[in-house]
Amino acid sequence: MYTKKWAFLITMTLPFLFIYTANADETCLSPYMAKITGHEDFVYVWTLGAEGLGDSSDKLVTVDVRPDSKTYGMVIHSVSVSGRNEAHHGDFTDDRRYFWAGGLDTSQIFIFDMYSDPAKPRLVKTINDFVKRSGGVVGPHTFYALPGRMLITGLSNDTDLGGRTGLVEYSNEGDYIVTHWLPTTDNTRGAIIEKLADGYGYDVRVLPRRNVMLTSSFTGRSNYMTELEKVMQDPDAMKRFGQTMVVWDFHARKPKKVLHVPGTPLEIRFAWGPFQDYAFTSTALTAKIWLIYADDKNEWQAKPVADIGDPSNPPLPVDISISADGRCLWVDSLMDGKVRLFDVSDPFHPKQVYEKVIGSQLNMVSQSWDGKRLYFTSSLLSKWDKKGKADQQFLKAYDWNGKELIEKFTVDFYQQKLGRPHIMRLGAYALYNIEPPKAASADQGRRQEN
Amino acid sequence: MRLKRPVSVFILLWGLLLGAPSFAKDNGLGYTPPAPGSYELPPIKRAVDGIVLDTKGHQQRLFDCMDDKFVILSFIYTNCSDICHLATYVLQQVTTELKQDLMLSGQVRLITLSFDPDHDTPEVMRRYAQAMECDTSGWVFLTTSSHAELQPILDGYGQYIVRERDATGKATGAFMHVLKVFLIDREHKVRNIYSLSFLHSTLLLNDIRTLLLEEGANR
Repeated sequence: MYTKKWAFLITMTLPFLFIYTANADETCLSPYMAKITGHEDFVYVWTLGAEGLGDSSDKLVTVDVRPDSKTYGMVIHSVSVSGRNEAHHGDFTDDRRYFWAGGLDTSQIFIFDMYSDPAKPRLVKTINDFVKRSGGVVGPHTFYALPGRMLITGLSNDTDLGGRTGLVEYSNEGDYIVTHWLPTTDNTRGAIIEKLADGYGYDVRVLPRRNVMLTSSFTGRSNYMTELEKVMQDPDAMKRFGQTMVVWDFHARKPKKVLHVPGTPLEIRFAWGPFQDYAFTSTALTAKIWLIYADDKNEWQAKPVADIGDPSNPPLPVDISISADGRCLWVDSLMDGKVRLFDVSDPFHPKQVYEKVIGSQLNMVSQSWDGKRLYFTSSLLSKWDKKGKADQQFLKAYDWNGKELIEKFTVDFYQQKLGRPHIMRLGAYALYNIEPPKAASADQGRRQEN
Repeated sequence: MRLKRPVSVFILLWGLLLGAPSFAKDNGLGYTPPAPGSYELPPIKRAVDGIVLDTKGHQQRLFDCMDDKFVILSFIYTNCSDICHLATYVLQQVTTELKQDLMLSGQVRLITLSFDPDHDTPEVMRRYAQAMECDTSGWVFLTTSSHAELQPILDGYGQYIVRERDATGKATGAFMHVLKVFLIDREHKVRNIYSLSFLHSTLLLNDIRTLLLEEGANR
């Protein structure tokens, strides 16, 4: 009935079955998290409140993406939190029952119940002492599910509001566990320093089978809460941008090596193949794709491998999304509103194979596991978004047929008085074994018709 | 549209994909693990107690089963088609390696607790341990008398399960769940939680050695 041979059998065979059976969910999620195995039902959008628009508050918006639903492509729910907190990133706990969302301005963390009614998330807890409990970490950014815990990257600190910061762990129940400060040149915490250690933070991703954790680096609160134009005209402010990535011993949570990656490396995406020991990032200020890889001596290295757009006029790349097979990398850039697709099947020599203007400005991109559906949002930061007519705020959905993006729907977040949409995450009834309700009528949702 | 495949299967596949080279090697991690005592395992939360049944059907408190030892607690159900048996298999490796370590042997208790009391009676748990060739000298297999006894334990540890049902609403006997294994110290604090990607005997034992060194330093 139960045998050791059986355990060996599934160990050896199922990784290969996996490649052919998985067909949904995002490729950027923590590997410790429950996954959607069919078509997603919802896109959740963590949205910055805009002053004078609707209730002016940050909110978690639910958009129905069930193709057979009468409310397909429509906003079917939104739940507001108190005030504007500079809503930015958020993600699920490992069991996907809760969604944690952060505010970069107030450092508050909002925890939503997603499982009771996946169409209608409910705010169940607010953590408002994150700075105090963490020992001074400011600006909770990436929320990364670990077994029974959330790993949260900071962007800043409460001493000088600069970029020196840490990683903070909380239990799934919302209790503080520990803070890991990033290494600096003055306090290397045992890490090898390639050129310098700025101690800055931004994103985090883990490659479990190599016990490797990678972090990237952005800038502190003094910059991200200041108008972008003002920052770019201030030579001192421009010196306060990250130029490092840190390779960590994940199990020990110890920094091992500080890589020099100038130009502000932001999102990190590991390739998912069982023998692909590398990740990509994009640098916002220098508009390059960087490869972070284990060399033939098993040493982790960083190398710029491609330009994004015209190097003389960098378009400010802000988000990337890797395909499940590791062959394609989508790159969003804010200034030109473009998404570019790179063939990264040779990770050392990415080649751009497609591009499309999505809007006047562009920020986040999420793709389904099968790579057939892509979702885009427009807002970067309240102080950094474009002004006037160029300040379009939207969620757009596209199908990718292998040659071009086909627009499916647009939700205008200003017209619907919602705010500035930032990070997206996918949801499904099936995660909680909940039978979807019978088709809703179209008047229950709101959509911008094209 | 409707998902037919259990989410748990996907989690297994995902976990194995990422961890495959490690499991494929003979007891190899695929990397050098951090040395015991070179890192810390800050308490994550309090473990919770509850009323359980051993394989003879005797009612006990879960904390009494822990017996002032370091505890590796896993939640399974015997009808599981995938990850639960793999977890049990890894814990078998732990018991084998424990026997070869005089410092550790006798200080560790393995507990496997079913979250399917309807099917997993004490007798079924006994037969499961026997069929999986588990050394029960330091490893107890438990179940509960009812869902009412079970649920507070699952809630306390954060072990979320969902009973799968077919198109007619009838229970299939399977559960959707994320595999979690808990390392608990003698003060009943959870010190680590392992998913499939990090469920490896070397890491588990190194973590226990780390806690032992911490204990020695605090004396």
